Amino acid sequence: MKKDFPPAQYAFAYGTAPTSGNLINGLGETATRRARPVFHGSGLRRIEWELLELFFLMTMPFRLFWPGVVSRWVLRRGNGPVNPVRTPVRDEAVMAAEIKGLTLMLGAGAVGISRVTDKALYEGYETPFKHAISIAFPMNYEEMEQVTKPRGGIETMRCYIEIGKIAVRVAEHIRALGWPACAYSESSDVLHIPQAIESGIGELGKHGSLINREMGANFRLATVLTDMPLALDGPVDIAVDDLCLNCQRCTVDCPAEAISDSKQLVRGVEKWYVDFDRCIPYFVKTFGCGICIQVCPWSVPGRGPSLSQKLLAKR
Amino acid sequence: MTVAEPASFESRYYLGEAPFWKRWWRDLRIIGSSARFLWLWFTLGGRVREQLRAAEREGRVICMEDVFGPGNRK
Repeated sequence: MKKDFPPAQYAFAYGTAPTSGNLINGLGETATRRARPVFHGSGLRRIEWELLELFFLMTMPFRLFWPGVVSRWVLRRGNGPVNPVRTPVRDEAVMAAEIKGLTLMLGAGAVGISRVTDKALYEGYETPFKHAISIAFPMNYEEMEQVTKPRGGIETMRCYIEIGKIAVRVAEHIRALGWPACAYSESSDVLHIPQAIESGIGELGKHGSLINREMGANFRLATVLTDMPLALDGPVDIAVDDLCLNCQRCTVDCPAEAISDSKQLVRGVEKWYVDFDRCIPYFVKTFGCGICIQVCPWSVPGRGPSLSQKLLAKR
Repeated sequence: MTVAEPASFESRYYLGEAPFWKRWWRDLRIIGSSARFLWLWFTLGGRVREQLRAAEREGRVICMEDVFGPGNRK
């Protein structure tokens, strides 16, 4: 059933339209290449749609703006000095289990480890690190039911602060063991979704967000990059495509009609893609939107594991 | 098209091995940048929010280039 969300009509517009975000994102491109930043910078990097981002920041309520300031303060400790006395890693699996245990103990909902993938780095950016620890933090479902009102955005920002703290603590722990590590959270140099897919956190849903077996799409991501030798996880198959190919919930409920019913070719890879030019103005109008995450049947608390099990059994 | 510059939050504020005073200076820079941002939200942001509300009431569309143009940056 279609929910009653504000219409996709806007009281703001560009005088001269910027380059289409879909073009920058490589929609329809057959060759593989890295992504280019379009929107959601840290406020420091020049991006094509930065005027809309500034508009977003200037028009949001203060209780949504302030957590962004706090998040930057938390993340300043994402890198730091490395203990000169290095703890040798005798068993990569044991060390990976220890790091994952710490991350979960700090409050994460899921954690996975993978080799750093090119897909997670913007064009022109390089990293000296080999491994990525992908961290997922669950959002409060009841709060996310308030999406399109500031409360949904406030919950998102609360989660970014919390996951930022976790990522910083994990990176500090690894550095204390004598291995370099950097934490990355919102608006960072790392594209968390492609890296989290490699780490086995979940699969890409048709709404362009990751779907985790337990949390659905109702979570936020952060990444810790490190050189510490760790046992790696791999991508998972939890039957997300089996659901998304037959479910139209987010497609129907998205007032901006930004979600397509079929996969599209993006930078040489066929995948689910959300129309940037339609999505982002609505995102700005509704303080971070999040409708597709909230209406996703997989996001209903407790439903994910049985849904995945049923869909896998049907194959 | 605007070219992305390697000046993200991380490249500007992340410090590895650095003396105490550099960390202190980094923290001061973040406080300064956040204070500037807050000032913008209260001043320019206040005018933008007011113009947006008026446009919504009157069914008009405001142009973002005008909103952030020199005329609105008093």
